[in-house]
Amino acid sequence: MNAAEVTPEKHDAPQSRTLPILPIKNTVLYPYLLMPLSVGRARSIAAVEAAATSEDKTILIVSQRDARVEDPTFEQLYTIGTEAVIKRLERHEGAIQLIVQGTRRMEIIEPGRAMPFLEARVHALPEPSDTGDEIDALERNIVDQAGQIQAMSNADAPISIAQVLSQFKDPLHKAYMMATMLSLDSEKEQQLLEASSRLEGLRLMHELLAHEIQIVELRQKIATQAQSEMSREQREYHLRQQLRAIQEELGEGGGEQAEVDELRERMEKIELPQDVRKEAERELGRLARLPTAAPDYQITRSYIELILELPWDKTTEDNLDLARARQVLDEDHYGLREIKERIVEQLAVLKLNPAAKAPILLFVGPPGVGKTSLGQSIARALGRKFERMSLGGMHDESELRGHRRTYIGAMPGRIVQAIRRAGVRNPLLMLDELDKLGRDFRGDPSAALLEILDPAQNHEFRDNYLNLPFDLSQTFFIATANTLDTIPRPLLDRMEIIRLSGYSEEEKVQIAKRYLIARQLKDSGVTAEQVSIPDETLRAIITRYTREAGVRQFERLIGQLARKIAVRYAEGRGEPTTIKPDDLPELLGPERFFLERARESMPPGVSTGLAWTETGGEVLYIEALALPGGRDLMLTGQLGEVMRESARAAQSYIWSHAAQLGISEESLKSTGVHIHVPAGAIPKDGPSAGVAMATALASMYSGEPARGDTAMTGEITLTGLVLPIGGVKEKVLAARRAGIKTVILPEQNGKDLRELPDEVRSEMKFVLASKIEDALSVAIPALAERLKSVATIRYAEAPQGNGKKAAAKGEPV
Amino acid sequence: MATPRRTVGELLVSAARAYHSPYWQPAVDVYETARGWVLKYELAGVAPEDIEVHVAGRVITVRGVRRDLRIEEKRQSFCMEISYNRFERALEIPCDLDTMELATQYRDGMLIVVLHCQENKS
Repeated sequence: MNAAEVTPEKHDAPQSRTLPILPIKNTVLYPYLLMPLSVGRARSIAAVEAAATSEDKTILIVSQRDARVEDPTFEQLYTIGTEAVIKRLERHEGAIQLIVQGTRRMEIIEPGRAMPFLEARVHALPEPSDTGDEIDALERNIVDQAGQIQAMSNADAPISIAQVLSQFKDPLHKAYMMATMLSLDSEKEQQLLEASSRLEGLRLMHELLAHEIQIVELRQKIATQAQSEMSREQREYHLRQQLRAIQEELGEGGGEQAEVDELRERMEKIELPQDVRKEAERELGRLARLPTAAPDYQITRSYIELILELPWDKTTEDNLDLARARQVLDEDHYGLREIKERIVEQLAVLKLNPAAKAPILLFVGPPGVGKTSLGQSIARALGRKFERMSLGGMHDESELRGHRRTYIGAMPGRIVQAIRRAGVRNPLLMLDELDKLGRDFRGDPSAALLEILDPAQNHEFRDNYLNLPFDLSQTFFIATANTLDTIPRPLLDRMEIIRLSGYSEEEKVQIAKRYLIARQLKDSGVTAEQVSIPDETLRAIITRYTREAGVRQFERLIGQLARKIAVRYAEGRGEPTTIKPDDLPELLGPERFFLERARESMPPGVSTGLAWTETGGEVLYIEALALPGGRDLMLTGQLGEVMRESARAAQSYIWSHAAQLGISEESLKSTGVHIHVPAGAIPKDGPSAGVAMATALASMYSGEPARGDTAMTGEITLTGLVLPIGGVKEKVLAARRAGIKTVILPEQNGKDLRELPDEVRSEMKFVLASKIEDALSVAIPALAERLKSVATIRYAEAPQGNGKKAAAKGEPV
Repeated sequence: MATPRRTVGELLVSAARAYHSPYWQPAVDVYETARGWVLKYELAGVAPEDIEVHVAGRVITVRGVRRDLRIEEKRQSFCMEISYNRFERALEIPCDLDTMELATQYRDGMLIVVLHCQENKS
């Protein structure tokens, strides 16, 4: 026997009655089914209260047509709902939790009041009871479909749907149960509720389930796809993990992942240009896949490190305070007015146009004049980082521009390395010894410099190793050289040449007083109170112990003095000392150079020339001798081709002007000439000895001696013009050292006299010659009378005005 | 329709059981006596005239309605655990009930049904 066969209709509630209405959203309550509800809306609470107060606890549950409506009217509710009994009720912070159980379907036949809660007259709908084969078939189908859906969506449910459904005897109730368990949209659920026959309800349910199966299948497919996407990455990850485990097992493991991670972390932190970042990421990806033992691993790693360390966008702020820059430059270097002005100019430009390209300067001058230290001082004045590299002896272009990464042991070039050391994109980069660049079959570094030093190209400098464009346009390049002769023209073209000539004796004294003495005393641990070196001692050192344009040897000698004093103090017999010139032989040894005093009287045929060398100026005596019986011109003293030719030109000129000079034609014809230029071991060349040669020859032929206190320099032409020459300052200083009072210069070199220290200019006389006759009439007093008609003697103006002005400006000259 | 002998399977689907009837089920005690069976239903608050006992074959069904008492001055419900409205409890007893002598007694909210066998139970 079976309870379902018991017909419980005797206690039937009335077929139609008035009930409070509880509207619900998004779902539908079916007969026989339990449903938990949370009631919060005021009218709904009132309806529940009314039902709970009634003796049979009955309420009508109706779905809203639109879930978004907060306070529905009758029009916004479906007309068919479910009569339900409240099984449980609990009030919870204003809301009411309910468990209701549906009993039968009901239709609203007459809406009643809407306040304080919805209430309507309702009429029970008959429970469908039709039977048939189709219903049986649909019923089984639905149970199958339900099982299918459950299997697909949630395989490990604690209880099978089929088992639950078997509890329902009425096939329509199974459909109700299914609708509740599946998340159908409420419109479909309502359709099921409204089905007036089992057949209709089951057909609807069958359709819905078929649709639902499709959706679940589709969803599964999408999920599978997404999973396979993900699992590809996961697979790679797992393989890598395994690889690492294997490597660790082999003893090559560890480290590299951490390294890659660290590099990646660093890369994320810094700012890189987009294309650089792309390249770096690509290389990092490669690195992550390489085993540490692979030769490529280290190469790739150092490459990435280089990228990360290069200052792609880092710059230092320029210090644009002109006054401060002047002060810094003056603190570090004495004199060098022209260069300091050039630096200040650059600062002014940067102040007005911050995007200005950095200049490319070339300092040319003898050793020891402070080219390199001037670079440091400029960096300090500008507030830029200083990096220096020596190009001396470099003969391989790859050293400057790097090796391509395909070579084992490849490295970035020296330029990129210097930038990396500097850590900023705008350092002051000093290229020392530019004139000592080598060149051979392996390449020509000067060609690479062409690109680096060209402002039009160097904003995209491409190092072979880095293989990414790097902007060098903000880098301040300063090159140094001792001579321009060995520097290729196109390279010279790209640079602004600034000459640093040698220092005069007075300048050296000033430099010693300001910098050298203090530095050397400090190095030796001697204080200024313990030793003092007066000016005349310094002068004696300069003239008797050194012969140089710079101050290196001079500084070493001061150091030697300081050490001698230090020895005395260390031995406990020290006392404050003033070093006099007479003490020098004892401290420094015998004098190394005898002061080249101008020769008091010179025999005919000797003239005083001036030469320029890389280490400063020199006084040369040119000796000419008549060789009776000979006819040739003999030249000795390691003279170069140019010098030989200028000797011939001088001879030709003298011969053709013999009458004017009072030289007998006979002496020209019967004698050969030998010209010798000591010192014979030193090679000499250049056209600037022309005037001196002509003077020596004129003196020899005429038998009149030239003045001993007058030196001369200048190139000559066959027609007797005197052409300008270089190195005026060094030459004049050398002449002054030798005690010469008058210097004959080509007229066009008059402008160079401004470079000379004022005390030199006021002490010496300068003759500006435009023709050989001008020079001869000054150099050989005896000829002055004969040449009176053709010669004009012009002395350079005295510098007083200039000097005073400079002093007033406070220039340290 | 539960029998006194329950199975594990039935326990598993107990959640679903409630669904096959929209009525509440009163708690029941079942005793076997020397002369038959005694059934005790907890039916507090149910008026005796609202209780109906029905016997068919081996199944005895008790059904009826529990109507709530009207309590004056009520303003708000806070908790409702007692089931109201219609109830129904069907029990299968292992003997032919039609031949048994049946007596009911309603006392202090309990319905007592006494079944006396006319002969030995089958």
